[in-house]
Amino acid sequence: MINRISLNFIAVFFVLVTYAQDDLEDMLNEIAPLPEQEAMATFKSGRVINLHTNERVAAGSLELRISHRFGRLNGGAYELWGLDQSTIRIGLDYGINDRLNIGVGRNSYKKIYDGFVKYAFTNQRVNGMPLSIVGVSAIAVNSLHFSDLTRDNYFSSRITYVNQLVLARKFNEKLSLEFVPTWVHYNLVSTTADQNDIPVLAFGGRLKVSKRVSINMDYGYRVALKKNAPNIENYNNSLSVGVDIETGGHVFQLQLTNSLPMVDMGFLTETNDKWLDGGIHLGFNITREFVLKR
Amino acid sequence: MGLGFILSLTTSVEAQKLIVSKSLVSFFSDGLLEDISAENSKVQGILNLEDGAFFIRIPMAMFEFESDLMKEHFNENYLESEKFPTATFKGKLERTFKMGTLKNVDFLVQGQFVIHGVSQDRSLNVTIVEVKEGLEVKGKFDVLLEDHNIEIPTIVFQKIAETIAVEVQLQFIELKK
Repeated sequence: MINRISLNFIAVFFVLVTYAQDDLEDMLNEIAPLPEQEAMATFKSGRVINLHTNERVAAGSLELRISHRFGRLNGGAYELWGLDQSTIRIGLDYGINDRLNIGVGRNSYKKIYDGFVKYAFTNQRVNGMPLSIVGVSAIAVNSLHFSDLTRDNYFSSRITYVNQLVLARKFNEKLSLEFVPTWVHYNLVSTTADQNDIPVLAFGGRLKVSKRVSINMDYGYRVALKKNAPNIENYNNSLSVGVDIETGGHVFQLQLTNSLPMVDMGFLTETNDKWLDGGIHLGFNITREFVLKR
Repeated sequence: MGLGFILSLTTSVEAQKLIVSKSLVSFFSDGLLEDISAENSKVQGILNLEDGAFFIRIPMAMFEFESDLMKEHFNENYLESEKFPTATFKGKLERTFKMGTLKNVDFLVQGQFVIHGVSQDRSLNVTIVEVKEGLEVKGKFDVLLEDHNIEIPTIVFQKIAETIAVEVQLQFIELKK
């Protein structure tokens, strides 16, 4: 009898003690779990170097992007190793909302006007969704005078389309990688032996070396669908290596690349130069963000 | 009989717990070129009036800034929010009270304030007022970046002050279970 009472007492005491020790933090976790956190800054800006990343301009912000490539390093002293020449793209990206961006650009390369729409399907989460998936659909309009005025020339002949799916993952604080399956379509090619459609398997990555500096790389492998298609054989795969330096409102990108064009269809499928021949161009991109709407 | 006793006791304890229902934490940094301010309304917290113990946490990624670039810098460069997702304050009120009996609204709270993974013992003055829904807690304090190993960059154009002024407003409601 006495045993029973004391047992009961111990039980009651035990319940009370465990209750008192119940941690407020654990209790809070039960009532209100922490909100899920999205992976932030997988890349520093909307382009690895030339290739689109999953990053977008914030809603209501406008980003001015000036991209510039010098001539070939193998141009020698006469060309001051390429510094005499320049190719440029000036672009504006705008954030319509957190998922949707639009952009326009003008390229000195083939006097191309380009435009794109970028849409985020998913964002990577710290404990959850492992990938950011972003779609990019771009159009490029070549505005050079038609080369052959004796034949019927159509506006549609000027147009090239690029559709991409950016699959990006921030592996840790330092390393982010992306795989970008791409489909390039030319409305008009020079000869029937050329490929109107060129699939490109593109990759990009960044490695942060300090809080504000990262090393970046992007590469695009073009897939041949026909044998000996001249517009595959006569060009090279694009490879760019660079550094991102972030200074407050700017991101400054410095790079070496074998691609002169900066527009999507250009660097992906019309890269003329070869790294191994010294056909390397020094270049830089500068971005500045303006908050238009809050 | 014993069970009834435990139940009645636990319910009376439960009634003394309050959780944060509405919140606004803001901070202001007097910059050289740009003033930086941000707001967070996603604060979570729990207060036990039985012994005055409380636990408050602020999800750092939920601070909203004037521009998303500032938000990115804040989380990526200064607070490292993926490594240290929350700032927490765990401590005790200097005295407890029963709901409906609060007269003197000035309180001293003491506890550990953890931000950027670095803990500091802090005692802060707050006011606690009874409102219709429960309690309203207000406080102002400064955070010294150096105290919490938050790096102040030297090469950045956008300079930030070494002391950040923080303002907190929390509304607690009674926890019903």
